[in-house]
Amino acid sequence: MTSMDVSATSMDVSATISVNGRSHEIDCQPGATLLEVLRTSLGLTGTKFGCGIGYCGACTVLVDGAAAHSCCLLAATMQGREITTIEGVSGDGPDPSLGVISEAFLEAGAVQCGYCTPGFVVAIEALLAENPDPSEAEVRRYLTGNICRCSGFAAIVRAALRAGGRR
Amino acid sequence: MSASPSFELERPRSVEEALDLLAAHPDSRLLAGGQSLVPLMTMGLAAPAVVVSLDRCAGVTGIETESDRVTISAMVTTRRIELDPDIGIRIPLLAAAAARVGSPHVRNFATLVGNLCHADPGSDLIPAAVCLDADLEVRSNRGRRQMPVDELIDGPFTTSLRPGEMAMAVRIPVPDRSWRYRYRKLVKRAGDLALACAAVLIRVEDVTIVEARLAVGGPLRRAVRVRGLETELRDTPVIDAVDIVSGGGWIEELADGLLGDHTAPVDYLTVMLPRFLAATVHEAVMQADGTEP
Repeated sequence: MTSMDVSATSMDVSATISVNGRSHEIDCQPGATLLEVLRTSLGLTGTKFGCGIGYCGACTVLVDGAAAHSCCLLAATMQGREITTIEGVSGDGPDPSLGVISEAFLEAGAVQCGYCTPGFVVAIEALLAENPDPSEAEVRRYLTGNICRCSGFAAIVRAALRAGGRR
Repeated sequence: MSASPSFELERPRSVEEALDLLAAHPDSRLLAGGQSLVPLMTMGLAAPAVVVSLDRCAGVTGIETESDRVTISAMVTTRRIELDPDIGIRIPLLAAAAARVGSPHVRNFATLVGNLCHADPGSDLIPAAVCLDADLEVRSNRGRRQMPVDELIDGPFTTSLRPGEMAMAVRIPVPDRSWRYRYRKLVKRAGDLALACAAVLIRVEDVTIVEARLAVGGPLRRAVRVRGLETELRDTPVIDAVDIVSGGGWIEELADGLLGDHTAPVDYLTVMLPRFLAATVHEAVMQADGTEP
């Protein structure tokens, strides 16, 4: 991520945001995105900065359970919403450090450079919450909001289908 | 990467408070879902002094259903429109266009009213709203007015809204069930803004088109109704419609507004658009009863 200043200034706004079930008091610039606050103020670096304009999905988080590009949301407007990051969707699989979807990514060989992986895992979490056993077409349509720059989409779709079958 | 070096963020709790803020700050922008404005600020293409966010504003999240129209308030997301069972049955053209906006991630926040007011030429919802003869409800702290969405857009990213005005809601007349519909979108990559899009409503009796409403968007300064062609199609046998539309005589109606670029030059657009709209009309005609063809 490029240099940025989300430290306190006189223009700062304060907000209480809830991330992965924990409440945080934050002070940030009015223009600070949710992504910046997650990574810089809260140290939750699993959420990645990719394009910064809501296109690539590396920054995908859940807001009240719905997939969202955290680079396109102002942190101060997230008061009262429940944010879930990749750190919050881990831990429900056989390996306590991984979730069911991350396990499926390993098994399907769906990780190349890995930079897009957290965003895909979070997006698939949202997909499976509303559609526990999606078809391949449904997976592909839903993942419109995530780009794998290594172009490893086929394995990612297989991982999503594998995870879906297990819910 | 910070969205904007400095602006003042206001989060009014009521519409009245929002309108007072807009009146007090001429260089302010309303923030609804943020899916266009936040990226624009990130890229330095918008730098308002004051951002008035509607995220906790009361009275802007409703979908009001009446027998002959549906009113959709400022903060209603495109995802909600896409999935709303009543809209899906009564205004399926709108649901179909809403489902093509960006990705689910974007649609979870992007709003119909915000999309219209952003006035992106590649908008999915402007052609749909124009085709449906939708009206925009506008308020300021001096009063209210209503205008057709067709009169909202002046050109790319510019609207006829005046300083201090807020688009409150879109009112959409419910087309009766005899209208067949189709929304079609051409993109280079899934989730892109439209390279071209078309919204079509068409009424067929026996084998004759009795009424057609055709809106085209994408490579134009603003999405438009193709009214000359609508007139030409009236009382035309269905079997002739595709030839008339793909013949492309109507493209002259739009010629001033065509926006070519290096990936889709005007020469290409003048060949592609007639075929694209003809395919949309064909699909609308073939769809008998509101189901996807």
